[in-house]
Amino acid sequence: MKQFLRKNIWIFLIISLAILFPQSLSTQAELNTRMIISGIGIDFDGTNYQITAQAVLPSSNSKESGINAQVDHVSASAETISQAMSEISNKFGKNAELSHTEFILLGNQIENKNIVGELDFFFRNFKLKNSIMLLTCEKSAKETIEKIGKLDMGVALSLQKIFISEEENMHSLNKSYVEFVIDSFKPSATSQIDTLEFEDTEENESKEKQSKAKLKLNTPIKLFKNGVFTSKIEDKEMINAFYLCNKKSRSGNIQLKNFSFGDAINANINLRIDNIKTKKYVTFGDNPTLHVDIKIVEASIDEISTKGMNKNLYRSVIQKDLQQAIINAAQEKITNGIYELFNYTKSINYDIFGVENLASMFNLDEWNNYIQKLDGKSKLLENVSIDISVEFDKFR
Amino acid sequence: MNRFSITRRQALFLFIICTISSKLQTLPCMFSEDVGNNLWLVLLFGAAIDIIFFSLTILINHLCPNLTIYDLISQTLGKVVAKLVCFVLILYFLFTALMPYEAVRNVFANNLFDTLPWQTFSIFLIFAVGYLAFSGLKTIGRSSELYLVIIVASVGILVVLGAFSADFGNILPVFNTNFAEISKTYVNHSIWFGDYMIFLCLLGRIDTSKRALKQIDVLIYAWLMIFYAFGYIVFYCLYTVLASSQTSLISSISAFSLLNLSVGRPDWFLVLLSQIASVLSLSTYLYCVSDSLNNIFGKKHYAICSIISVVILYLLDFLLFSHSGVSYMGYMHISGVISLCIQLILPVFCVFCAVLATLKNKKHTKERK
Repeated sequence: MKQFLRKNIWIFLIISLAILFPQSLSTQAELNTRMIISGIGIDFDGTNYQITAQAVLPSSNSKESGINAQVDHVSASAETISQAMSEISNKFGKNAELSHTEFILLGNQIENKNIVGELDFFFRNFKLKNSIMLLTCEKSAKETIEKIGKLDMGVALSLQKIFISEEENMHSLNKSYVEFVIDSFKPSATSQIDTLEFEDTEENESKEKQSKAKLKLNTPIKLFKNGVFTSKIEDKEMINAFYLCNKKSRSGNIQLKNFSFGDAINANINLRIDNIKTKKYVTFGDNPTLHVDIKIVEASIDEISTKGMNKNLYRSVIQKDLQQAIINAAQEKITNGIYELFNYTKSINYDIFGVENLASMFNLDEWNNYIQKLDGKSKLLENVSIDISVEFDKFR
Repeated sequence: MNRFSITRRQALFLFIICTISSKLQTLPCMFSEDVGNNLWLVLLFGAAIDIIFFSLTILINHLCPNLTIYDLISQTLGKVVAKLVCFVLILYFLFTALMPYEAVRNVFANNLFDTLPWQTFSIFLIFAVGYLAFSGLKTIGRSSELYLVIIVASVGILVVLGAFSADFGNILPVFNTNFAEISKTYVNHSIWFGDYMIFLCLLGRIDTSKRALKQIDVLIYAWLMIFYAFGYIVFYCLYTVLASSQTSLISSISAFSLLNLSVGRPDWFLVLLSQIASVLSLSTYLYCVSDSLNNIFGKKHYAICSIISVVILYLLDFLLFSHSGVSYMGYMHISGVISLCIQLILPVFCVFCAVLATLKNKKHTKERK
């Protein structure tokens, strides 16, 4: 038996190849019937879900160059998201492949529903990546997603990569749908999503037929509690403060307007901050205190814009007292931004810094005692205070 | 050293590969469903039990270094009992072999391909695995030497990549469960434990001329389990409530890493490379089935026995999961209880036989003198 197998192994190999080769050809043919969905927009009109898919299709000369492709959009409505997704495939006449989907865009009407529940179809689909980014928009998802087609092809197809790299620079928020659900199930049940917006290109549209859109950064951040839209942060200072406390943001800029140093200097300073380390924890005295410790390992002056002339600003080493004054101003600005954000979210009983999460993890007994003293969970943050510490390590 | 024997190093490598295949795929997802953030405690609990019985296996190896489990039992309690034990081993390793088999299915049919005709694809998988098992222990042992570094490096990098994206606070609060819950979860999923059973089956096949199994091997196992527990923590911290809905730890632990690379997801190569562990462990389990079958049929028809075991595995998967509609979880719970009994009783039984054999030998030597 052993000898027979050894001598005739090539027969098995040929049979295997004969079976496999035509199968791979048919798989190749199947490829032509597929389309890659790179993004999905979801709208809700009261009764039906409207799904708009951003599909990547090979263009006519793509075979020769191998790089050309076009972004197309198609919409379908149905009572459920899964039905609408099937409709999309039917409309294109191709199989919609979701394995390369990078983002899900929620229209302004869908965000008033429970997002965790609405995205159920996507959780149950194993083909979808766990890292798909969630975005919201101010208009309908259909309208917004169609505008993505007006972006440069490179930008349109790597929207998530741009959001990831800009998140590191405190300009955007890449929240995956898995993270959104996880956050919603945590004790404080709060999660945030970035808004997709574009620079105004109306003038261009009237002049050119093929207008181009530009991606807008530092857009409003929408706040969700238990998966439902609660409010949004629009103020630039608060958005900046939010990113400073976001663990994924590592570097950014701080603008110090009308910075004055004695009578000699009155300037606008743009400060570059790198390697930001944020630590949050809760301590308990009579009431809980949230501590936010921000350590900026490296800071440097990017630009000083002054009306007058002052040679002190152009020294290779800035005077110590001027340096300290800039640090103080930056510390004050950061602290004020975080205070503002904390107080605003506290006023709407929204636990943006996850005080309840932190307390449940590290101080469960003290937190339970604190809850018992309160009248109800709606006043959970009422007695919570904040202590902010901003430290600059290296400054040049 | 013939084709049915391996060195101690190869045996240890095979053992490590089998633990990767059994512990780092579907198991953490199932644990997190039952005990949430305490999944790593169940792993350590199971590992502690395994360490005790692994030590017993080493003891048997010391008492009777050159005897296979069949020889040991047949010498002490007769051939009928030995064949009965072999039958139990066949059942055990068939149950166990289905686990990595299903894990490979999960990765290929659910994660890698949109549509994969599993019944056709599995023929090639089973062919490769069957060929390895048929080639004998030496080939499997050498393959383990060849691939261990690749597998361990892939798994290590995947876990480290995952650790960079994980929020470790999510594992807190720890110990918010009771012992009953942990032990119940362990019992339900005990089929994934008992890796020492491989050593038990390989007794007499491990070349002890250079170095026999020692307690240091138990220490290696303990360190391995601590690393796996860290992997479990990383996995849970990444997915928390959604951990139970993931298909495999290996394929999902690096999902949030390397996203900004323009070359796609290179970590998928690591996922694929780590699947070599599943193939090698499957072939090891199949070897154990074939060897036990061979013992039942009088040690003359190993080739036929290996073909039979391959066919049985293919049919088991085909009939059990594809056609009869047996749920994976249901199968796990039933086979878990059965395999736990085997895992706990068989080593003790073998120690008893080994002591008996040693006493017999001593008596025999005295009589000769």
